[in-house]
Amino acid sequence: MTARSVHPAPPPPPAPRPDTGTGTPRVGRSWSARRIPSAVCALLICAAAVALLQDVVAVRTGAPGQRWRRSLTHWLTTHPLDGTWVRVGACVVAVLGLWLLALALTPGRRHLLAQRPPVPSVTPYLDRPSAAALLRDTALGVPGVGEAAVTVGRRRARVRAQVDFREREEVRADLRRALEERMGTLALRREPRLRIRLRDRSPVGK
Amino acid sequence: MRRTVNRVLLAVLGVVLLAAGLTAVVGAFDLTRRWSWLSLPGGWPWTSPHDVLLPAADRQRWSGHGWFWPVAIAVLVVGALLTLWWLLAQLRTRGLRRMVPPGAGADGGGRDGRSDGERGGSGRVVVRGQALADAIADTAAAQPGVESAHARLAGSGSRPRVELYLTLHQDADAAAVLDLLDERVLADARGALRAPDLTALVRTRTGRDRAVARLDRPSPATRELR
Repeated sequence: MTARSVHPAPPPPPAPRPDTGTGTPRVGRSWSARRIPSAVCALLICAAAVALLQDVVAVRTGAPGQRWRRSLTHWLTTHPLDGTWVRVGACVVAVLGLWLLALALTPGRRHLLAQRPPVPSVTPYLDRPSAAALLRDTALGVPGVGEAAVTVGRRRARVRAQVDFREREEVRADLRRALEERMGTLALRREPRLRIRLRDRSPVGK
Repeated sequence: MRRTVNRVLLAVLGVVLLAAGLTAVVGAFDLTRRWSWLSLPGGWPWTSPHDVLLPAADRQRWSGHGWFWPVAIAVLVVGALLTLWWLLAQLRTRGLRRMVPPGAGADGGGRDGRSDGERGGSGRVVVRGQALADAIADTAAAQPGVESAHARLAGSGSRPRVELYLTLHQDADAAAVLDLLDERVLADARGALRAPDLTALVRTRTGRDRAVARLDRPSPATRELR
């Protein structure tokens, strides 16, 4: 983002660990079972079906239709399509459908980062906040860094740190080297790119 | 299995809602008149903004037939039962309750798990799934860098799968933990279960300390940078 955050010459990342055995098995994204949306949809449809069934059976056995169903039918048969609520409803239904489709087709579990498996039978994942915690632990160990906050995205890891002493650029170089080394130990299949932002300790306060 | 069913049903539902919503949008905003390129086939519902959602003609077209109500009731019953099943399927979280390690109790036990399974006979050993999972978790928790661990056994008796949830210390080497996990923990489990093809799903996280939390501790300047 800012020019400051771009390091002039980042040292090359440490070489990845040698693979054990022949060919690295690939671990893809973890695919969520989508249990909660499924449960909600199932519950809603089931409730609607039961309610309609109750009404249909009541009508068939001679009782009058239930009030909610009669008012619903009345509403549906009298409101033209260009009514505000019909328009809003149509858009909502379309968006809802699109959303369900997206839920069905995307893997989800965006908080899990795939790791390189030590052997093919093991499928390991590390969650993003934890990757951030591990990186932050390293950042705090770099001399000159007072505070550090790390957020790990799927593609980028953002490190914000406060420099308490030492030259800022020296700290940056050390920080980058240390973080890249630590990143190597996370065994991530796809390592997020590091983005480091430093600020000096503010003169205000203590 | 459940994942596939859920995703297929959600996709079907999504397509139905999207189609219904778009059709209604086309009618409600009178898009066929505004966009000349958009022409709809004959018999298309909801073409004019003055149409109602449920025209009386449509409503009475089928309901007069003798077959309509029995069919409607049957459809509703089947729909209610299927969605109930779908709902209940989401509630199952139980792992593998018990399993019989192939060849356990018999002599030696060969490499091929499945063929040995039937030989168990009178000396059969039944392993309670959670007991085994707990043992795996305990071994995992004893590895360096691991703060705590829990596990459960999933899959089927002939193809068991371990789901292992690890909590690491902040200074742990995640790659080293994974290597050790395979060498020490899963190797033992494979031996105990006589399941050489035991697979493991491992999810790793760290303890309470979140990365964004501000820490007041002074910078550990004394620590040497390697």
